[in-house]
Amino acid sequence: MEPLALTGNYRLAAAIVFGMMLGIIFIRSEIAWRKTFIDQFSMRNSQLFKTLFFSIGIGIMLFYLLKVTGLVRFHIAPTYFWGAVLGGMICAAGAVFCGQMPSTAVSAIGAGRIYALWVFVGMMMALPFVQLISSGLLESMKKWPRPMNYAESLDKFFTGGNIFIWFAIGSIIMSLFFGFISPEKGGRNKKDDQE
Amino acid sequence: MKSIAGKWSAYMAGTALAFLFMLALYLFDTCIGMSDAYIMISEYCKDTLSKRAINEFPPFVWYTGFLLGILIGAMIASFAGGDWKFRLVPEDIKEKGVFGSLGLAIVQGIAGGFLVMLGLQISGDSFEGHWCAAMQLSTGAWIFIVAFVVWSVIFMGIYNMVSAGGGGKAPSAKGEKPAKGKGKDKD
Repeated sequence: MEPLALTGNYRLAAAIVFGMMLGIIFIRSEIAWRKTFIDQFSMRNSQLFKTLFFSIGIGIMLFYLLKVTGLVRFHIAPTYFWGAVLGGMICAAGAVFCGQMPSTAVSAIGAGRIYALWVFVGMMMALPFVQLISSGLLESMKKWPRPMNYAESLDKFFTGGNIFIWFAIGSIIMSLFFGFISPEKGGRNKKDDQE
Repeated sequence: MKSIAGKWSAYMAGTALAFLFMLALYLFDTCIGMSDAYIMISEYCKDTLSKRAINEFPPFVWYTGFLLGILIGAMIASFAGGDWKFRLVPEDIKEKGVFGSLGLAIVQGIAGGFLVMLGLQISGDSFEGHWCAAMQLSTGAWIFIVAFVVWSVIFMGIYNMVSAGGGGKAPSAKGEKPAKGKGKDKD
């Protein structure tokens, strides 16, 4: 069996439906709201990190099963150690200011939060800037020394046992950990939010 | 309909997202992300500005279709759940006057958005791309996610300290208990 790999108009139609489903999940799980990000970073509500790590845990197991059957293939964008470290750091600094990610900003605009449009504008302005620095900083970053045993995928680090299962369990434990250190208030529901 | 209108727990949303990302890998044979759509729209804006004329529509391919889908999905879900609210300024920004609040919202939005996209471009993928790659045990994606989680908490602590020291006016960011009826909005 092979991935379906849709093309043409089928791909476009599937992308629109897929985007709609993602938009619905972001709104219903409250990931689209700026407050969810701000509260998460202040460790007052762990909805974001719980969702992130739980989805990774389930996703690892699903990916492993689908890969065995041949329905999906590895698709990992080439990343560099220092790029990932610095990128994560800068991205975190930006998220603290605006409380949005590219996709959640679009969801927030769809839900009437017009202020997310400024986040969208900021993101648009960053892209020409990245082109400007790409020949200098980004190229030199690729040459910075990285850990000796750095490999593209984590399964190459470990031998023995199924590393997919261990990482899936570890991610779900992380999800439970974030739920434990900043539990949601028991009575918090939709009505409370709107009061 | 109830599932579109009600709140989803992190575990329900996480499971749905995991299935959705795997479905994307099967349907598109690639990790889905927002970077390509943003790059296309940015290029379109740059061309339009340089020509000082709108001669053609923005590109409508599957990347931008995905972006449109998120917008439509968010509208459907927010209308169905009664969450749709027209807001120019986030609830936690309480500067004096409309223009003070609006000005701060604009500055925070543009600066934050700029840094988020810069970080994502330096890291080499979109946030969803890293999310999906972490499910495939990509080393770079895991480094990015760990760096993001750790630094976001550290930066928020610094931000709270600076805003508290400087007489900041963002109650939700300082850990103050919000006054009754205020600061509980989902913005």
